[in-house]
Amino acid sequence: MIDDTPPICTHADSDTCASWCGRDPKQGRLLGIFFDPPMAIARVGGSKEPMPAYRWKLDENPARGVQTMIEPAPNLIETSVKGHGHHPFTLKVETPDQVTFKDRHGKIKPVAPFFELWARVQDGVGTVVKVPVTEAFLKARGTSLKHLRFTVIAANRKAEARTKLASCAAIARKVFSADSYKTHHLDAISPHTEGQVPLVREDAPLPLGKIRTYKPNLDDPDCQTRLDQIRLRFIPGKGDAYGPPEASKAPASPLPPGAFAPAVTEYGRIHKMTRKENRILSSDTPWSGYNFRTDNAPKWPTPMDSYDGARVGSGNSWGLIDDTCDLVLTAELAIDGVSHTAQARSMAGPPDFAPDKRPMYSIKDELEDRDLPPAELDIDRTPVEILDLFRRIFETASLVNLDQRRSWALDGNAQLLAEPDENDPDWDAGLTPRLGPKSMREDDAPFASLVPEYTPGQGDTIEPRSDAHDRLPYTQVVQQVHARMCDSPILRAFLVRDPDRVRRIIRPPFAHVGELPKIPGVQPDPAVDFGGQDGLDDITYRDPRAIKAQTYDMRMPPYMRHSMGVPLSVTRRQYDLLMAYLNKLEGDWKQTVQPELDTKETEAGT
Amino acid sequence: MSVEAKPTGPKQMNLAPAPDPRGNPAYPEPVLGNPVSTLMESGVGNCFPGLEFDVRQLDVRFFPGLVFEFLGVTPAGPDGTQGARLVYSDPAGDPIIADHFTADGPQWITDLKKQFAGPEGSALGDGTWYLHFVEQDGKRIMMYDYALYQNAAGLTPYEGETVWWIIRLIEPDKPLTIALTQRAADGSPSGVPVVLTGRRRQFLNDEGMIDPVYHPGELTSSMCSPWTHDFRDCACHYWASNHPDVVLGEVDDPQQQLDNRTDENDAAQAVTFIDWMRRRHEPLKDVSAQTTLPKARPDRYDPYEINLHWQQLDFVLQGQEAEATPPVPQMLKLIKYETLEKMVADLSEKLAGMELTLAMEYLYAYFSLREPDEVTAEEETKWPGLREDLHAARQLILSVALSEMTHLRWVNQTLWLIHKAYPRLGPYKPCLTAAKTISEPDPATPDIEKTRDRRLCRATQVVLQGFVDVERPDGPLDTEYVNLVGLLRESKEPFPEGLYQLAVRIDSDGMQHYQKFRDVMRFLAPYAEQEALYLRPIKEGNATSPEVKPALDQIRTALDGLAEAYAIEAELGDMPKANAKIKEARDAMHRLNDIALGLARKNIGVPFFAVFE
Repeated sequence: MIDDTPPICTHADSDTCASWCGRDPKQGRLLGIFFDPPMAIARVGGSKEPMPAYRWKLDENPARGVQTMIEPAPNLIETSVKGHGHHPFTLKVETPDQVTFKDRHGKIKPVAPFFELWARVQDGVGTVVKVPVTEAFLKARGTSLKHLRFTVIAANRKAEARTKLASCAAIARKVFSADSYKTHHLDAISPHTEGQVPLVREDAPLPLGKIRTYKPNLDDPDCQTRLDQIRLRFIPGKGDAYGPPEASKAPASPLPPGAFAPAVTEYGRIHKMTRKENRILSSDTPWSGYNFRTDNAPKWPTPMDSYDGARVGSGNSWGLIDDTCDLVLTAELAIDGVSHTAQARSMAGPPDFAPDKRPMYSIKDELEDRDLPPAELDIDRTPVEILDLFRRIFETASLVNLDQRRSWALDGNAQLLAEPDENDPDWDAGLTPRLGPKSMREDDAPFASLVPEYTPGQGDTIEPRSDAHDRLPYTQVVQQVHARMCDSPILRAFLVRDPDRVRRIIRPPFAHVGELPKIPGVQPDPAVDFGGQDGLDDITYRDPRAIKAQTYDMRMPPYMRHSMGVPLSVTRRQYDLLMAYLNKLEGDWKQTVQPELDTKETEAGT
Repeated sequence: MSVEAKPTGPKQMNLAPAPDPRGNPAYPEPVLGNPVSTLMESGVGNCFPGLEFDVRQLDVRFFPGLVFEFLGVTPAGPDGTQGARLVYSDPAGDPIIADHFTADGPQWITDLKKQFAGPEGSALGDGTWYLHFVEQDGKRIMMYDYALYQNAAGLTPYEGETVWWIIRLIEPDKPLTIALTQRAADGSPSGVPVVLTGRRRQFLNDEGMIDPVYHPGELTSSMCSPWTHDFRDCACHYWASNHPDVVLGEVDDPQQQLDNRTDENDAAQAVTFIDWMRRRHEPLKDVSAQTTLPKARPDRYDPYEINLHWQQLDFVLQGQEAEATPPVPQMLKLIKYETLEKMVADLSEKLAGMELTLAMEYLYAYFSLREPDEVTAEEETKWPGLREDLHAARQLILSVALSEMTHLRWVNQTLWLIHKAYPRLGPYKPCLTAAKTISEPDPATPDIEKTRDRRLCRATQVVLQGFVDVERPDGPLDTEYVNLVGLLRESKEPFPEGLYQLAVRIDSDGMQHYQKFRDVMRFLAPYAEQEALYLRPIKEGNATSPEVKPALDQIRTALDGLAEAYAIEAELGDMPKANAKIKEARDAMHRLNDIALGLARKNIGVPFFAVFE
């Protein structure tokens, strides 16, 4: 029997107890409820064991250099209350010695995020405190777990997005109360109206994952772990492909990505594309045989050839979908006649195969760039943010095959600009930065500097001269150069000593709509504000309508692809903050009293 | 921290938490039980169509009440329907509008609601509509490209990808005007535009979640089907942080694993990048990654094949394939300098000089190697691969020599930062004199350090072995830097922020040097008995001879330039001047390279150390 007395916290250090710890759950006015996190990425995997928790940490081992590593973090272990391996489950905390990514069968452990339910409560003095929602909290507020309703709607709309038919969507909807501790399977079916053939039939639903909530664990109350807090967990699907019975084996295109095999009778090797037990989708829907070329009409989503079957023969779809999805979790309760709602999202994606490497252009960067005002320079925070950005740049760059990137991009440039001889070292003469074989070579100054020095044997070629023992020359250099930028003194010295080089070598992002020329090529592109520095008027924000904005050059990040297949830049917020930081660093030394240097008195000894 | 105000708008999610005491950025922490791979920081934000979800889907509903699609063209080309097409107008289904029946919302929403309830909304209920222009800050951007036909301008709709980017560049929290029109068969606008005023949607709500207007499944709807299709087939390579291009392979025998997780005995393992997407279940193992997509293709998983084999792909830690995190944190053998003075003396009197001496020894060895184009056709026939091996050896040795020059700078930078922080040590003086001796382990008793005189030698196997020994982990040079790390990191002295990172970087670079030299030694070994195949019979030239003196002059110019630049940088002086001096030094080194190559072809080696005698 749960009462509404707050459990006595056994947390070891009362000084670090949460501010709500030990307070009367009836205290204060309930303003609302919310999930933490509001959004979390789930990652597919075939194992029954979920991926344990791990965190990023700075590795300072002299043998490896300063870089990010991962280490095990406190993990929430599901324990069967009755001990028979079935629901209800409760949670306990354990920190493993190490994180293993696959189980003993070689299957990848899925990342199954937890969502904590919190309440926002206002004290009499007006302070707003976040308080964990527990069974005791609900009881104190005159309600119960039974009356806390969860609704989970998960959907895979990939086929629907192409065919424009809801009968090709796979949607699961689960509604349950917070005391329903069983596993809720997100079995999706296709909504359809009379006469439509559902892609996913009711008798053979598509398993998009599972949802669980947990019985409170009151054994060792601790405000840091809060094992009595109401949590939901989304366990994503296995990452399997599903199809109609015909989608069994097929010849695959032997061509590189992006190329289309001509319609001939024999292509490449024949592979099984789905497991037998996963061939459960309907055959006679528009998704089987869908073709992006149909009607020769423009289509969305792009890229249009993004389904199995697109690259061989006629390009007809085999009718495959997968068990990934994105979903919305909703919690609703009524207190004192007022309803309160919390929502969270989760998206099931592929595993993060390099978990200690962080994107330099993350989803967070993108969302912030869209919604937040320009970043403001802060004397304490900005240097740390810039250092973090350069560390993330290294982390991404360290796994890039720059040789392959470069050859791909330069080949594409020649195609885009209709250059018949892409290997002519000077087909792009007069352009700066260079777009042809001289990109990132000596003639690409002032952009190219270190790479030509480190790779003297490389000629002006699209494909690098990579021999048996001189493997990926560009890739090796980019690792060497960017590893240094992870170190604060080196980065700062680099930025201070030659800020104009940094300004030139970083690809500007696109201009805001209000800054774009009304007609490209007629009005000038907007110049970047470098705080009045001379000689930089030619550096402008880019215009997505300009052909030059579609060509790849060595400006940073080099030869990488942005959304919609254009050259990648850092975000506008990242870029403007970095440029403002450069202006500040440059201003700092300019305002320093210039010392009288006796440069002859050195140890140069020459 | 539990106390928080009710958020009034989207929070800055990447706002760096307070740095650690040594100035390192703190990492974000997920909630209890979640790995960091659940965080938005771990997901990739550039999408075509993306990995975790497709952020481009947000723009489908950029304008409240409307849903667009961004039609790209097929291989058949444009047909006049490309661009941003209105899928439907649904103001009642949009919480921003539907939740504001009363007038207490922002005025722009009240105004927008009236527009949807008026003739504008009615018009959009019938026919096919396309986005015609967007206007913000007084700038009207048309969704058409202009073509000139004699005296007339024709309008061709941009394709969806270009239009999407224009939409992506609209700013929030500013008035926004859009217009929609219907189109003629050729794609040109027809009829009276419907003009709406409002704002671009805020995509995140107050709680940090993407607006509930996006239906479940909508954010992933444009992703590949199945997801493995793009994971293998995409030519983008923009996901390396989650989907690596190149990695190092695992060490087969854990007993042979060094501290940096590379192989003690297999010299190639630590320097061979392999293709992460390579097919795992066939006999061919761990071939070097290729330089082009077509060359890489045969060894990678096929389309369809990957649907059932993707779980064979390896996880990668610190650039190397791994099954798990290391079981026990590896402890450092930190031996500290006794005093700051002792450390400074060691850095200025020993380490800086050693770095310079080693750079010159490596350069001499570099110039002793034959150039690939000197290999005759007969030699290449008899010794296939000789040209390639020479090419690789030259590149690797040169890269280590350049790296040592960089270390010379970092030792000096360490010194000037310490001198600045501790005035009692006196003023910093650039340290650019080559050491007369080098510490190296005694091959008979590796734990005992011995010294040898500096020397300029050709890159014979014996000499290369000497290079390997001096760069060896736990060798004298490595130990010196481990000591430096120990003092800088563990000391209670308020050393300048981040200074220990310099020492860590030099030391970890040393590991790279060790591995590169081991590799060079390995692949030049087959020619050991025929040194003339890969080595020139060079001998040190006479420092006073007219043909050698210009080389030495360039070295002097380079060192003088560096000395001046370092002195300026140390005082945060005239940075453009410091930069110009460094450029002078680099230019001098480029000239030295040309002169030294010319001398080497005459079998004359540059007597580098004559500069200091």
